[in-house]
Amino acid sequence: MLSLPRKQSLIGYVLILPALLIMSSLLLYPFFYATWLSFHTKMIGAPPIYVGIKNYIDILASKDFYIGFLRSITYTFPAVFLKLILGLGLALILNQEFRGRRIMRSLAIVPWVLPVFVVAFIWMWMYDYALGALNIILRSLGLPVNRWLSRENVMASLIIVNVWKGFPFFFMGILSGLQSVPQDLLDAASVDGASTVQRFRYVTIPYILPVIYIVSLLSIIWTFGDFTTIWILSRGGPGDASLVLPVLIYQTLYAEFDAGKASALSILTMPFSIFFIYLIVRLLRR
Amino acid sequence: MSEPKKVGRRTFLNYAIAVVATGVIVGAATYFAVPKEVTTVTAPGATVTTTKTVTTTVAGTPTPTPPTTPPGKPKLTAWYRMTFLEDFNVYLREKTLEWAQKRGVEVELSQLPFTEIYAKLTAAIDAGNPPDISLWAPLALAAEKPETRLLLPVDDVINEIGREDFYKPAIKVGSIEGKAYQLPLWCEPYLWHIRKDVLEKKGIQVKSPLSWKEAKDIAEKVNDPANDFYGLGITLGMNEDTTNQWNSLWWEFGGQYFTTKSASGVKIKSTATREAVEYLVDAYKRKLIPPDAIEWDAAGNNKCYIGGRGMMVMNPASIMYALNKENPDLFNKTLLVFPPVVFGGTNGFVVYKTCKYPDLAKDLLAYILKDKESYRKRLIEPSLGYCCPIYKSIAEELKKIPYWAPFANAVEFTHQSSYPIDEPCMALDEAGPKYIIVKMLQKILLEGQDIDAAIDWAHNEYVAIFRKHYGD
Repeated sequence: MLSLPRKQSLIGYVLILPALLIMSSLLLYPFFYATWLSFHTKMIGAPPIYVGIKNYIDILASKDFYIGFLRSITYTFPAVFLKLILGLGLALILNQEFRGRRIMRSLAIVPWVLPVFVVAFIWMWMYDYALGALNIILRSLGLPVNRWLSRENVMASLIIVNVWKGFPFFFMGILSGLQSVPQDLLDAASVDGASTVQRFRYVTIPYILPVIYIVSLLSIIWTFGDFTTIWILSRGGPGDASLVLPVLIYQTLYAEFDAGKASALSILTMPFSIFFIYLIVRLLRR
Repeated sequence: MSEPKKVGRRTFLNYAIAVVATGVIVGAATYFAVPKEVTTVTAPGATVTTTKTVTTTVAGTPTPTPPTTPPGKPKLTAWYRMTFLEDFNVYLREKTLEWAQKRGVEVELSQLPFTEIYAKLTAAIDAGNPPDISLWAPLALAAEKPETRLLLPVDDVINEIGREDFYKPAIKVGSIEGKAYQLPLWCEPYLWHIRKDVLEKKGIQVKSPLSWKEAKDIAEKVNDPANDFYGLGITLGMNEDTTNQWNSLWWEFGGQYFTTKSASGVKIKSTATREAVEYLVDAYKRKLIPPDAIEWDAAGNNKCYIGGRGMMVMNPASIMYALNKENPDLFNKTLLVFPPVVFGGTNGFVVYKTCKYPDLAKDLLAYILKDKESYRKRLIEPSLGYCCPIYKSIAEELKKIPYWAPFANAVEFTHQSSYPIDEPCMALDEAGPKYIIVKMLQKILLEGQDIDAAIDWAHNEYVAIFRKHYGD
């Protein structure tokens, strides 16, 4: 006969099992279905036809996949780095005591709470060559206007939008990390003669480092999967200048109507995300 | 007393994995064991935008239903494409709910922006779970191939309303093998929008139709890039307007996508294509077209004209609608003229085979379209030309209004991408959103690729798509 604690703990586990089962199904079913589909040609509205690894061969032989991957990397890492720098800087400033700090903190998270398509449309107008706010400002200052979404500038312009929308996430995370730094430790460091930079380097940073890791990794995964901003602003163009993988997957599904190939593309992008998810899980275990 | 046993994390995980694995195996077995006609697709990155859903449950005596109708209270699900014309959306909603109330039918109506209805309908068609009715549908996908056809013919509705009053081309663009699968509602032609005041200033006369060659001559006379004013506000960006404008230009030079629906029928590689490409490349290099046109979205040419940067643009008359509201002065200075071959879309209602109450669905459509007076006053006239009528009688009335006179009957000479056959074509539906024509132009303009090489590339892309759908 089972003892009471064992019974109790078993009941507890049994009670959470339905939720676990549902969650697993919600996660596993689409994954397995997408994997299964990736071995088929599946035109929308038609039954799937088994084609083995043909979709994978086609994708790996196609230039677009490598362009998409390269563009995704070019988009993701600078954007995450800039968000980190901006978020950290702002968090350090707004962690200080001063009048209006609460309002500033609230304002700082506005870009984060705006829906992504609203942000994209706002920036679409900002970037407009003739009527956009940025060029109007440049003109009024007597400076040459810029073609923000040209082949040469489009990636930088898209990164700016992503940074603007995403830096508050870093700010909020790092700010909460900063608030956990014990004041007496900072005071002790001051008494010991540590400069502001040294206190930051040897006391603050070690405390907020786990937060920085987590928000950065999450942001890498999200930014890598960003679709809406790029689709609304450039549709992957001009040419293939902003053809990131999510745009390529979308085009494969909704232009080619080929769900099998789109699934294969998605599966091929997964190792990247899984690697960063693995890092997050490892960090969370520490 | 022995230490109370606890379930360790490892043990629990083993249990959990066993249960989940059983679930997955049972689920997979069930999935494969049950025969399915259609399957679900997870759409990556599908945009989520505002959806207006109105449901009405009306008390009253339901309309007598045909013998095939299942028992119980009838319910219809309808998805309508929204336009930027708010009155238009309101009218269709009101009319639908009015019908629902009269017939005692429950109608669940969703009005969705184009991008959303496109993604939603595509997924719903694949899942075999479309609505009962939709305003707009990927026609070729839903009806071109008999084995996967999901639409019901609507010839009976057309006959009930009065076939003789419909413009034939309006019906033809939604017909396959002689049967109409779309009940047309409006036609959206691409027109030249031209600055009358600049023409007068330069003493230039313009007659309809205005050819692309003539347009270029005019553009040269008025072009002033130093002052950010361009003769041709033609978009070259990654958007559907670029392909739509290209169609009109290319057709004027004698081009067409295919002669027969087969890989060997593709006609991209042609003298007409080369001439049309040369036309655009020359105009772009000489700055008759704004340099930033290559990165415009679909609203780029609208903004170019409304912002006073363009002498002429080609677009549906949504520009006029915006000008009338926001810049009446420029509205009055704008002349609407046709090109020799007009591109445009004809939008309409479809009824799906999966509908449990097809007679009710068709009755609703007839109810909306039979009220021609309201159709004219609430859908067509307020659109200022964005929506052109599909009825001859309405077009004749509108012709009495000077503004409408040149294009009231636009549906008669407006063509789809599949010009000159003007029937749904799956391959062209696939090629459009892939922006093959745009990419061909951008390869030349941005990457400096040789014109013939770029045309070859586009030709091969089209051949591959046609082969996939229709074979060699």
